[in-house]
This record gives sequence, C-alpha cells and structure tokens, in this order.
Amino acid sequence: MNGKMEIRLLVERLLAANGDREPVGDDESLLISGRLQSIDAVEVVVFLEERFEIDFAEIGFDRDRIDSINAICVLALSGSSEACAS
Amino acid sequence: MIEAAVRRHRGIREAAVVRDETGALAAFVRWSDEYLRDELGFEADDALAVSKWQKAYDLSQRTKEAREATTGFNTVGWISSYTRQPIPSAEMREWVDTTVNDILRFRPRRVYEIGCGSGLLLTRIAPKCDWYCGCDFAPAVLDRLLEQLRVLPSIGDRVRIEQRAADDFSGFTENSVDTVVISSVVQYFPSAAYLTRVLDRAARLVRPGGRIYVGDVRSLPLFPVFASSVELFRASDEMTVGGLRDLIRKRIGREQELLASPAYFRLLSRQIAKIVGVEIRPLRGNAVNEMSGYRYQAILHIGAEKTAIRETEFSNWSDGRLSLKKICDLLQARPDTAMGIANVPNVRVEKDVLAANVLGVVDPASSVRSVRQRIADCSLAGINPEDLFSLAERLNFQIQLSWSSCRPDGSFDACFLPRDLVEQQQPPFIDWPVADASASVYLTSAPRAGKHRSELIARLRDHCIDNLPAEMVPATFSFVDRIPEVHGDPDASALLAAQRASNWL
Repeated sequence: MNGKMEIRLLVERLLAANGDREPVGDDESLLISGRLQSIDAVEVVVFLEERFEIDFAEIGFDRDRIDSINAICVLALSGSSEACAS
Repeated sequence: MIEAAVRRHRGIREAAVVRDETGALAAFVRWSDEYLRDELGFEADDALAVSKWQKAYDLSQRTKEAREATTGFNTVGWISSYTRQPIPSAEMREWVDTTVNDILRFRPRRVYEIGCGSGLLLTRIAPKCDWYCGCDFAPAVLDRLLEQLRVLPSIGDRVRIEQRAADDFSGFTENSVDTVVISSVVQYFPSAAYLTRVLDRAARLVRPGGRIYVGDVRSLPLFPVFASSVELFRASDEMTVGGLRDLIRKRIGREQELLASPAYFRLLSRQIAKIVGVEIRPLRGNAVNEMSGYRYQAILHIGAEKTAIRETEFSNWSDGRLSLKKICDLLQARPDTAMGIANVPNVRVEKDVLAANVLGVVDPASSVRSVRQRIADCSLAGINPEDLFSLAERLNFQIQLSWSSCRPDGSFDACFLPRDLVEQQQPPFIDWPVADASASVYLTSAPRAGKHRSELIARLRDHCIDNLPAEMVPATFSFVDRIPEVHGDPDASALLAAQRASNWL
C-alpha cells in the first residue's frame, strides 16, 4: 500500500470515528473546515512522526500543512524518501 | 418488575422505565463507573484522551504564531468555531480582563492554577498574590511561559511552574491555598469521572473560606443552540433546512470536548462535603461570541459548614413586562430593598435560540435563506448583562447574575442588592430560582460515548430479552447521569422532557 493510500485510510477512519462517512476529496479541508478537530490532528501528527519520521519539534507545527490529504502527503514526502504516489 | 429486571444487570447503578408519549417503554439507566472502567476500559480510554489533548496543546505552541506571540498575551489556539480563524484580539483581551477581575474580587493570596497554559491569567493575578503555582501538562506551553516570565520582573519568586496532570496533587498540603483556578481547561478533561476526581482533590487543597474557580465551562444545556448557530453561520442561503439539520446533528455527534450543565456543579456538594456553596455566573463582557454566549463560571465555595442563604423574592421578566427602564424605576422607587428577576432574556444567544427553534419546526425542504429572513423579521427583547451591571453601579446597588437555572433558552436570573446591606468581601449567597428537574438528568456530555454506546445498548437489550417477556423489553435505552424523583418514584415527565431536549432535531 503506498503512502497516500495509508493517509487516506487514516483520514477516513478519523472521520468515521466522528460519525462522518461523507466522501473526502484529496484537497478538501479537514481541520479548518471543522471536519476533524485538533485532537484528531494529533493522530495525523503521530502517524507522520512514526511512519514518515517527521520531527515536529524541529520543523514546528502548522495546521495548514495537514489540512488535506494532499497536504499531508507533501509533508510526508519531505521526511521520507518513499513515494507518495497518487 | 421491568425496572427490577433492568437493575439486575451488574453494570446498572440506577434504572427507570416509563412509557413515552407513544406508549412505548423507554428505559433510562445510569451505568456503574466500575463496570465501565473494568468491562470497557474507560480508565484506559481516559488516559489516552488526556495524552492526545496534551499532544494537541503542545503542538499548538510549536507554531510560528506561538513563537511570535506577545509576551503575556499568547492567545494561540483560541480559534473561532464560526470563522475558523483566531478570535479577535480585542475580544480575547476583554475575556482575559473580565476573568482576571472576577478572580481578583476574592482577593486571593495563595493560588494554584490547573492548566495555566500560556499564562494569560497567571501573569495578571500572580503579581497580586503571595504565592502562585501554575501547572500544565504540555511541556512546550510551559517552556514558552517560562521564557515570558523571565521578562516580567513583577512575578519574581512568588511563582512556581510545574508540569503535571490535572489530577496529580502529589506533594501539596491540604488547606494550603485559598483559591484553585481551573479556567478553560475542563473541556479537555476526558470524562465526568475525571472532572469529579480533580475537583474532589482540589477541594482538599483549599482552606475553609476559599474557593475553586472553574472558569469558561462549556454549557451543556445550550450546546444544541450553539451547534445550530455555528452551522447556520456557515451555511449558504441555498442550502435546505434538511441539509442544515443533518450538519447540526453531525456536529453534535462528533463533539469531543467535555461540556457540563450547571446542575453538575450544584449537585457536587452532595459528593464533596467541603463545597458549601455554588455560584454559576454568565461571563462578563460586551463582546457577543461563543465564550460570552455559551460558557459560564462555576465558583465552588469551600467551608466548614453550609453557608447561609439569603431568601429573595423573584419576579418573572415576562410577567412583569419588564425592560431596563422599568427596572431602573423599580430600583429607584425602593432603594433599600433587594429585587430578584428571573428569566431575563439574554441578548447574547436570543437570536440563536430563535433560529434553533425555527429550524426545529420548518419544512426540511425550505431554504436557509427563508429561515434567515424569518429570523430577521422577529423583534428581539434580549438584555445585555453588562447593561444590568451599569444600571446597578449607577443606582448604588450590587448585582449578581446566575445561570444555575439551566434553561435551554439561555435566559439568566438577576438579583439587585442595596450596597449598604452588603458586606463587600462576603456577598451573600442567593436563593436562586430552582432549575426544572429535567435539567439534572444529563449533567455532562460524554466525549467518547458514541464509541461504546451501541455495545452497551446491545448488552442491556440482551439482558432484558433473557429476563423479561418480549412485550416488556424496553423499546429505547437512554443513558443518563441522574434519575430525578418525585415522591420517591422516578420523575417520568422530567426524564422524557430531558430526552426530548437532547433529541431536539
């Protein structure tokens, strides 16, 4: 499974846990729109830290950088040599 | 017989089974905390939720905005639910100033603050105290705060900062502080059980005559109106009411923060003996935003014996056809007499309440535009609480406001006391109008209830099927925090009213 699919599955799981089973586009806002809350962002952060070795203590945190599936992919790419193919 | 059978389930602490408006059997149950902890791992869930909030808060302080925040005024993380943008600085300043003033009115000398965060309150209150300890669970927040304290010489040696969880009181001596402050924190607690544990331990820390100031609590009774107002704000004119209702239901269903009814705090004195009086106050301030409209301060007074209550006669706002001018005339006519007014319409939420009521009754196919037009055509009579404070000040009265009535329309109660009769440092406890029994059925939200709800219902239904004839198995199961009684029996109308209010859409 490639990185983007993993990210999509994670996002869909988080949305489903909130009772939200509506489709989610790759560029659709997740946090700023309110579909995900800050506590859900933590799961995305932990996923990026563990799976793609992103160090948020070093790069700082900006919710815009995890606000969509595509944005999360770009961030994941920055920390890993693994492809995040669509 | 049916209730007895339901109660025989080892996880049930209390149960009531009543017939609803359709004649169907409706079961209302209160689960045992031990069962939820042992069978469903609620305590582990709580610990996981706390660690997630800790991380979320920590992340918020690793942003560019946090690094560049003004010393003593770091409001990073305060995001409007309506616009999803930072809450305007002027409104945050008013929130900080009014909260600080509210706490300083008690003239605290030794303060313990749980969740001091970026020091919005600490940096303003500590200079007036002999000793101030602020704790928080997020290390990045505390690092940022310590940087700020280095450039604030007025704080000096009297402030101690510690990283610890809210329920960790190890190393503190009983009766060693006069004030515990827990402001804008309880919404991040994982459960009511956790909140009660924190307040019980905090009460031991506070000496008689002191208080626990629980600030900025999100109101459970007003949550449906708040959720409705946020979704309506963001909806296009073309959206249907049915579509909007769906969004509101989803917003309510996905809420992960802890909300509390004022009734939760009022009933705490039955569990925590040191709590001898409870005040529930709307926030001060002129800004109309989600804080002033949908949050309140709960002040738990600590003492050795129950405080004397001042009995006051309350007239009803609508019965008296009152207005600011009429109140002014009445106060001037009787300057030596206390005056209580109940059900004062609240301008901060009046429009939102009206909108929520309209959304609950109109055709789902109608447009949001039509709802907006309908609301715009209505005349509103809400009062700004600050206007009452100004009036009291002008006429030499002291005024107290209360939200302990838990009314879903957000109306509040007011009591004007002649200043000459009031000891400034010991304002009397008022005998506020009693909340309806239905207000104490749901005391807090359950942030992770959805995860276990289906399983709990299934377990209970299976138990009933095994122990009751088919026609006696309840059609619905509702999980409540309390079962009010009337003449020793469950108060069916209160239970059904609370259920209707919670299933409002």
